[in-house]
Amino acid sequence: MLMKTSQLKNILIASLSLIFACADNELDVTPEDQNFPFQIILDADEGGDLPNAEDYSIEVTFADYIGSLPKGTFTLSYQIDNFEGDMEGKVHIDQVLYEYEEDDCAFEREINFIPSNDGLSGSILITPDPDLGTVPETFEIVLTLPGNDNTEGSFAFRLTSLETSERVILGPAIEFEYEVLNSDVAGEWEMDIADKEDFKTFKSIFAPLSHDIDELEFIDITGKVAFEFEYGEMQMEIELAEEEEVVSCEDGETEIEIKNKIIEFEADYEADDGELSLEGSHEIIGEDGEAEDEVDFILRAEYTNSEDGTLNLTIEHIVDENNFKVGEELLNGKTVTLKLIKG
Amino acid sequence: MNNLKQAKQKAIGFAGFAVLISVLQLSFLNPLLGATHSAKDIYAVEMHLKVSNAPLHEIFKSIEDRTEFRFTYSSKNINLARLVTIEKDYNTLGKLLDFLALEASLEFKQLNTNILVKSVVNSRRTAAQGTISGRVTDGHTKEVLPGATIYIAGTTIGTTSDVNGEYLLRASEGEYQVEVSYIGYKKFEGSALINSNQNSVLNISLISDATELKDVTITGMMQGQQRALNQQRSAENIKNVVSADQIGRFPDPNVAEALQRVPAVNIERDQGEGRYVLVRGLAPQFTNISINGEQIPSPEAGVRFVALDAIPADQLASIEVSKALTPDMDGDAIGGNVNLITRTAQSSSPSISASALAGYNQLVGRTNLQGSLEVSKRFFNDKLGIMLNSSYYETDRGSDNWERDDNDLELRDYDLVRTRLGLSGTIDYRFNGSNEVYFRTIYNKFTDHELRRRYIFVPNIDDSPFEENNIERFTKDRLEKQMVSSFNLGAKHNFPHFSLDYEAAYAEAIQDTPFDVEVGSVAEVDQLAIDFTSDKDFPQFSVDDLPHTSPSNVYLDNSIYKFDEFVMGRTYATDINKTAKINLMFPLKSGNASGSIKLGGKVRMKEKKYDVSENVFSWEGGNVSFPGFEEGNYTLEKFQGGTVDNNFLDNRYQLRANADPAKVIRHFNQNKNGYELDVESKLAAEAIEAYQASEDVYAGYLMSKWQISKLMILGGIRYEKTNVSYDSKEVIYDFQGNLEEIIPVSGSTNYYFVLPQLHLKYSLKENTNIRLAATRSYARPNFQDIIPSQEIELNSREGFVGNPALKPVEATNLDFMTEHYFGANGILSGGVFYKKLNNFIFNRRFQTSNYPGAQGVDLTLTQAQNGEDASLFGFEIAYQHNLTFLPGVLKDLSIYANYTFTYSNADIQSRNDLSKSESIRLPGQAKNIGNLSIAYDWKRLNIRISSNFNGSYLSEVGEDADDDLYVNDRMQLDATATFTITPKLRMFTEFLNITNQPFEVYQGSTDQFIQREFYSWWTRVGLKLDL
Repeated sequence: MLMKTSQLKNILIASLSLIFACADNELDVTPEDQNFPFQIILDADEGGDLPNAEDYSIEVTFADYIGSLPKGTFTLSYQIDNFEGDMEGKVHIDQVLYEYEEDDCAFEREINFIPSNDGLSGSILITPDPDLGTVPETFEIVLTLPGNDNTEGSFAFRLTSLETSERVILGPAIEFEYEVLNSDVAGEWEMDIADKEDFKTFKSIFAPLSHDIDELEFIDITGKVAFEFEYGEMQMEIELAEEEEVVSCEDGETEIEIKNKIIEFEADYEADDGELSLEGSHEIIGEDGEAEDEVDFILRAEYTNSEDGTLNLTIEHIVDENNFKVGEELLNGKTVTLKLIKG
Repeated sequence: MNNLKQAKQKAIGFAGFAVLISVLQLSFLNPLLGATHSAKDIYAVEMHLKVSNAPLHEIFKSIEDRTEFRFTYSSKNINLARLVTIEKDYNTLGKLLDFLALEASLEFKQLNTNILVKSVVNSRRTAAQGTISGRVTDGHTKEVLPGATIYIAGTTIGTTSDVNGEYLLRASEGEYQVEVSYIGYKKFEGSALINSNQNSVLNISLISDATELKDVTITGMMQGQQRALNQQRSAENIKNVVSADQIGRFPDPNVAEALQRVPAVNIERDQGEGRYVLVRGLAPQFTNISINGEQIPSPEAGVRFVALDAIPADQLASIEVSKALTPDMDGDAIGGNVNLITRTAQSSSPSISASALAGYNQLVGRTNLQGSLEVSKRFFNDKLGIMLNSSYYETDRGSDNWERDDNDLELRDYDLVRTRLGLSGTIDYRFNGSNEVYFRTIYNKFTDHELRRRYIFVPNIDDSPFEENNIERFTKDRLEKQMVSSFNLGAKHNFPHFSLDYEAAYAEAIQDTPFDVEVGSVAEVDQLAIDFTSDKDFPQFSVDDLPHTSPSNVYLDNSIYKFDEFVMGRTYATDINKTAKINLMFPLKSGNASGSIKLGGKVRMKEKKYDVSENVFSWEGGNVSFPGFEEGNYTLEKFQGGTVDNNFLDNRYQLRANADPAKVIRHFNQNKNGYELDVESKLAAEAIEAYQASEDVYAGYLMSKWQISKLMILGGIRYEKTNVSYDSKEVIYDFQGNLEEIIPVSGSTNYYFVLPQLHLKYSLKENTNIRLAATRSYARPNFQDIIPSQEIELNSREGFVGNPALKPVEATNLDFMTEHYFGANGILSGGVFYKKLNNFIFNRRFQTSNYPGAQGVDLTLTQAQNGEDASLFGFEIAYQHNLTFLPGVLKDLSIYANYTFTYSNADIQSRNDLSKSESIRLPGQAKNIGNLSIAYDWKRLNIRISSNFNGSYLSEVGEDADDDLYVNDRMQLDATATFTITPKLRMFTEFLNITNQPFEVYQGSTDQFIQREFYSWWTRVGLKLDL
């Protein structure tokens, strides 16, 4: 570690330059992160529905925040554009709604909006709810859609500006793209589990991915399983034999229904060219019966649509974060076929 | 003087024999003879005696020679060496004895021809006491000499000069022979007159042996060594003293580094600079840090110990490391107490000390700057003293570092600027030799501006479809400021019959992190493989099958790294101590033994608070625009900047420009709508870490010290009661891992300790002491452990919880030391110590379902708990010698060496079986530590090579023994050269870490490094002026 001549020279030069030097203890630019403003965002940046859908709701909400919501009014401007297919001239805001809850009863309240003449832009006036004392945290913009069985195409909805004296700005997620679902798997499907063998087959797929399903016995179910492939998300409901009393209250009217209990199972999906993949997460339940971990899973399948309106899913491969190595997969080396009937 | 000693010894021997004969006579013969023999009344006996400064025993002998009377007394109780002057002719023996009785605090009683003599010191002390006070200085340099031993000849009445060279002696009225000894100086002998209820001033100038004998220039370093040795020799307890001048012998810019040279002291470093002090193998929390005897609060949030790199060494007059506590010291120190003593004006002549240095750090290729100025003077006939001291040190430094975390490899490039500003002042006013008031203040500001650039290579070693091969990049720009200030206002009063001192102190420590910005970006690569085994010193890796050394390796392409997050953190921690204390000391005498009784009380109110702000932002705004780039993905090449280390770890790894936080912040400020605040993490982080606590301590003590011939006994008891209250928060995550609840919690606890302390010091010879100490002490838990904040993660069934019921660690300490001083030339000392620790604190993992927030599930919680016992045994040996006995040129060599061995054993809960226990080393305990320093003086040039060895120690207890982290052995080699241009002007240069010793951490065994950090060498050159 001997000092070289060049280093000596450096020392000399640096020593002289140091005489007037002092430590720089400031940031070049000061971040304005304190009192970070409330952000208004759209709950999703894309979505879609079946061709015959007559309306679609886009949720507008405040991004995660700290403190109390604003008590002043603000005006949101919006625009609907980028029409493709059958959408142009057929999409506009029908109403803007939010829910107010009191004593376990939901009350739907409207928010004023002023559309332009062509309905493709306008402004939404958000005022504090007299009961809440603040503006609502979330509200829905209900868009009217063409509603034809053959509808195709897409459009974009965007929040363009926000005017207020409150500490609120538009957030990052202010654009939404709507696309008509034209996938072969989109829509509602049903599966009938007729006997124990069907049930065994069904469980071999979903029991490793759902503790609730894993605990089911054949006797517990009615045999009816509903599938719904929405925009990017699949939802499966297994109807149980056990019934329950469901109490709902809307706008002050209470309704009591006796319904079968259901077990839900959700996953994101991609379906293309006969190949379907489901990705989601499931809880690992500890010995105490409570979740102790949540791990991701991937399910790969092939599908075919039959002329009789059935969807055949052939499941080939299931892995999760704890079981993905060769030989340790949740399902590999055999295939399981499920037959779904158009709902 | 020797004649006087011999006479005294003879007199004492004779007196003892006389007492025996007299007692026999009184007991057996007089009753028999009494009927036939009756003596004259002493007032009827003619007596004409005048003497000047004659000892009592001679006066008694003169009277016995001239009369039939014999004096009967106990030589243990009567000070026969006391000098008395009889100027007046009292004509009769009775009147003469009346005078002597008053003069020498005696009582005479005639019993036939026997005159019984009794001391009335205790009973009539108030009538005849007086004091002598003054200052001991070097007769040549006028520097004060602390640690001088001042005695009244022929008695055990003595004292030592304090850090300002001042002393005070109490004795009954009369004239005395005063002796002063100081290693390296000729003994002083002089007479002093003590008047009843008055203070006599006797300032003492000592003549240096070296000045007289060698006719050489005595350097400040030599004086420093002498001062330290004298203070150490005369200390009542086991103590090491480092004087300011002595600090200058080593290239140690801060207090922590100065302390690493002390036997049984090792330090923890940060970025190559000493920071925390460990005394006798115990972690920093076991040692308390004081300034002028008063504990200073810690600027850091969770702990009590103080980072000593915040305090410039040149602010101090000396540093004392007490390894055994006395009852008048705070009892919450098991390892020891480090007392930093600031300076005071000493002379009516203006004193100016200044230094200016410039340095160079090889790693960063930049310079360092240091300067100091101290001005002091006493005014108004030495009554008013003002000392002002300022110093500034700026160092640009850095480190190259790699770390391993499981399978991940991290490359860290540090670049930092540190400054240390020290301001101190002392104003003292001495009304007279007995009364003074003082105001001392010290302010230290330490700033640490750190730029840290990191690459983290995270391989998907299992080839999991759920994970990627990631390379993460981070740039951190953080400023941390630590301000420690203290203000002490107090007074000292010395009365003939007691001393009183009292003080009010306010000390404040702040750690302010006004910004802690970190920008992260991440890239996914197809292949990433890391090899930690082929070269354990420097791991190898490849990306997409190209070795890391390849210039075209994809990891060097900044356009593959996407912006991930931007973190802006701020923290502010305060710790305030408000203290008031009072001490009273009464001198005592019993026969030839002199002593004192001391008592006092203290109240300390502490307020500690920690506030945290942490904002984490992600980018959700889509494409970005940066100057000079087309709109596109938010990738690193658009916001890169700053310097690039092109010689990282000696060019073993290549780096590219990392994120420039300023560019990201500018973008953030202009595009807030595109960033999303992670509210959950903000709430959790701020709630878990922040707290507020108060701690009130009430203490009292009673102690007594006795000097019985060569034996000093100091013993006493201290009582300390502590009340703690706090406010913090519990954070609970639900079964899905989401933040569920934040619950405020508050509470309080209290505890007390009764601490007996005993110290023995026996002077085998004038320069040889044996010391024994048996003491009790304790160490308070760190705030981070007692604050009941908690983080419960229900999904993983784990949690960390504070423990407000945590008790302090208690310790019984036994010390044996012996020391021999080679005059001014050095010391050989050695000793053993043993500490038994009860309620040792360790992190315990346990399972419970009965815990708030557990919701009935079994949780594995980690909590600091009082556990089983721990013990620590060790020995230390120190040798410091100017080798003047060697022949020829070798006589100019000097050596400074010390070595400490420690062994510890702590029982903790077994990490493999929670129901069992296992033994570990105490964290922080290095088995071997030591220093070896060799210096050579050639005329006015002093050259010194110093090495400091710090053995490996356990730094972090892992989940099992294989996970334990150890800091590896480290030996740093430094060199210093000083040229004394004139006695007032010195030039010096220093080279530190010449061999580029890294800081290394290994896991489990020495063949598995998980960190190697290199600092290269740095140097300084400068001038020091003392006017």
